[in-house]
Amino acid sequence: MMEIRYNPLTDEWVMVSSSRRARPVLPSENACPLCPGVLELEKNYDLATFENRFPALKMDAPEVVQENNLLKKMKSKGVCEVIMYTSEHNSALPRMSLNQIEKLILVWRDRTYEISKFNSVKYIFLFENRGKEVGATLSHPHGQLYAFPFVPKRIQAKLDSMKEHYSQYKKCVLCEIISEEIAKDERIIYQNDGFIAIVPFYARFPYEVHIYPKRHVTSILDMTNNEIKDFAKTLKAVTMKYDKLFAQEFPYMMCFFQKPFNVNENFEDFFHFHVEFYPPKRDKDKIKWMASVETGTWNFINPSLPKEVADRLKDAEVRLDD
Amino acid sequence: MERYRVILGERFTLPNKDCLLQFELVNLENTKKSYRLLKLFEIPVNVDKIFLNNWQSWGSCDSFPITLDISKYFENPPSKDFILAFTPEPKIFSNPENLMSDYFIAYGDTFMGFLKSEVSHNFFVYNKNKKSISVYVDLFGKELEPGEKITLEPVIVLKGNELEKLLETYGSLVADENKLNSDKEIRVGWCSWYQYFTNINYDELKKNVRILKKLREEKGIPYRFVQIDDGYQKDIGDWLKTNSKFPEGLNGIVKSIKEAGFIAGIWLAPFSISETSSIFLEHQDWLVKNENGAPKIAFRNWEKNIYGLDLSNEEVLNWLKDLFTELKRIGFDYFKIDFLFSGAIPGERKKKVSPIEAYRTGLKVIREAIGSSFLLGCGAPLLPSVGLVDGMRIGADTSPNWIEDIVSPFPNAKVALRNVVTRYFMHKRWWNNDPDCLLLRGKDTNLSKSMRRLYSYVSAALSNMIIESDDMGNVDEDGLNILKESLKLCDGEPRVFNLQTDKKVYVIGVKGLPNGNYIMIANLENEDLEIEIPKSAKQWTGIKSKTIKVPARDVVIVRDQVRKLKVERIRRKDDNRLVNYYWDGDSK
Repeated sequence: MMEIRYNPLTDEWVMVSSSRRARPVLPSENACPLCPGVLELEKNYDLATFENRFPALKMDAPEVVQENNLLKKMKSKGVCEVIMYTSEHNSALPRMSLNQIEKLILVWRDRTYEISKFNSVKYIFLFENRGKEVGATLSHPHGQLYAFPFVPKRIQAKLDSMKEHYSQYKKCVLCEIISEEIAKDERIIYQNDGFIAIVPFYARFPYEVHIYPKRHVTSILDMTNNEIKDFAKTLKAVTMKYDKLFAQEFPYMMCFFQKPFNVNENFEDFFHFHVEFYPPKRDKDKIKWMASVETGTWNFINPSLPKEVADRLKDAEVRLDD
Repeated sequence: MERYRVILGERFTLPNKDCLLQFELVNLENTKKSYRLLKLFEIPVNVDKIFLNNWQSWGSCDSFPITLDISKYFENPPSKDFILAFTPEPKIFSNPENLMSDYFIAYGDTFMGFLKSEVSHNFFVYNKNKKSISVYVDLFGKELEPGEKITLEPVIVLKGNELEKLLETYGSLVADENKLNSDKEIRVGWCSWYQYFTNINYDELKKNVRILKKLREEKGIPYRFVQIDDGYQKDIGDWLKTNSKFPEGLNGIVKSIKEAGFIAGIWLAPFSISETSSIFLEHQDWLVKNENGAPKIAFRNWEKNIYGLDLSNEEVLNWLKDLFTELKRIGFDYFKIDFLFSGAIPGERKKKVSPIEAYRTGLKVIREAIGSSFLLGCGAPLLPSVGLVDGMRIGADTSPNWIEDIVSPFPNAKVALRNVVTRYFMHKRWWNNDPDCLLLRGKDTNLSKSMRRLYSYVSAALSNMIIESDDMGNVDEDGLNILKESLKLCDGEPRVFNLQTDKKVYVIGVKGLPNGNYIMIANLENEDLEIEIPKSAKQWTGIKSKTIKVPARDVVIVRDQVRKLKVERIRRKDDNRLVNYYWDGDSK
């Protein structure tokens, strides 16, 4: 069974993918299927991407038959890809060289550009789940890409809210927030010419960090060569600070938010590309659970003050030398 | 955006903010009443120039001084014979006191535009004496029963000082209103017109097909379609019979094109009927009539009177359906339909429908007959065509000549290119913009190499359709290189800045390409210029250039070159999954 079902109670789509997760045969119990030549990637590689073996979305998804107007569904037409950051099994974003992170950004750009050519793709979501606390089963450094045939609900909420601000003030809300944060300088944990990383005023998770490009760009494709370099530095700085502060491989969900593609609406002036990190921990050994309030109401209770968290992350000094 | 519902005739003050206005028309009389020209509202305007748009592909879209007198361009033949091509409201259009703008208009910090034109013709008139803009819909005699109420087609008002943002927002709102989402795209093609005009013959067609095939195979130029233009047919209206220059008929044309691996394309003017055609001789009842009941001349061309088909007539629609079904059966898969305005001229029709409704019915019949084949409109009322065509010509005919006059709508590379720039926002939102053909040959042309490059690069930067029209035997390495370089510029996110400058020098920012953003400065003027890059263009691209020198009638590109990885894309043999391997230049 592979289809997307509509929830008329919340106006959201649910991806159903109940294909049996048959474990692929590995050469040995401890072999990493993402290492070169083991299972997923036959050749040696520097960086690579591949279509997920068990995708929730694929371009040749099975047809669906509408049962009635109430229980609506659509084809799971889309793309699920795994993005290999490096062939080095024991590496990770904070330990990768700036050069390698720059190359990773170029790979994210290439996949975004190539997949955006499919008219059925409306949203391209790049993300990384790091650590078993957020469900990552393979430690080899990798992220993923989901290309949806619709604009997901939370993304739509962001678009609506940013559009509303723009229509009222004729200014991009994130451009305004960036100016405000730079002027106040209370919650910035790292910045360079092109980017700032902050614990936002509206953080939902205790150690939530957002990365904003200082220039108004709408997708990862818009960045200049210098901005790509600055973005690499910012990603490295944030992830190094997490690890340094807690002296452990700090788990996180890293989500990229870019404009939708192939949707006939003008997002250019009100949508601003950004990255959000959601670490699932509220301290070194304590989990911040997505419990009833968070899951049931989409309302978060943050037990930490963003400014205090920002101070701690800012004080966790890191060196970005290659 | 706030929406306002207004009963036409009631007091109404235009809000000074973004809004959508829906006017309601109510027949308060005790008898059936017919409605023609309705003024929705009038506002005083105190500006020196206005951004105007003509209703049809070939008409101007530009910022003009309010002193402009367009009427003088239509005082004498041949333009006088073409006035219905440029307006369905000839009296208003020809009044030198007026500046007319169809569908949308911009002045100062205000933009107004209609979101659709499915029933009425919708337009704005700046009156020089009154210094005001009036907003009109023409219902062409639509009848309402006593008490009956209809909602007129919506108009939006947008506020802002950056015209490009307002145009793009308007373009997206129109697309949304018309529920558009087309993924059809076609690039690159060849068309016979601008080299051969009506003198194209079968041998020349076959010769060009041979050269195009060779260029595709040996130079990797991705030509995909070959379109025969005007010159093959027996007469305007007799499309299935070829003249003596094409002894093998339409089947021969298709065979020659398809055997070389190209999509076969054909030009026709399906709503136009010449006075010597079999349709005119046999079916004058199929034509739009004047108030005296005689066939109404839509325009004069090919040294003949040309009439418009009455697209409210079922017999006409059946003929149209059979025509396109047969063309498709023969093997054509790309249709350029031209002089479409003649289906939308005002006049008497069999059924009581507006010219706009009749026009759309005709287009729908063609659309249904050809299914998923590519449909390119030309000489077409713009807003009524939205959603019914895959591509649209958005400017005047280009030409092997460059003429400085930018008001006259007759063939001229400069005026054609100006519209490519000013109507850029329609591309991908409403359809694929057709900038008209690229003329890349070095012979039989008055276009210099820099003019050819300018036209080609601008069309590509705006990601338009790319169609070449040359005797391919006359295209040298310079021409081929211009085409190859142009193709590298396509498929980014373009935005045009300084649309309202007095000098026709445009700054085009393009972002969203994997190999990096760029700024293109297109100088259409006959003088070298030094241009200060607008802050908004720098913001769009992240490129920090300040001033750029651009030679006369030429183009300069400033790039931000992004580092490039090599990539190998393969499919796994076991399960066909896509794998991409990336590496640095040296590291593999």
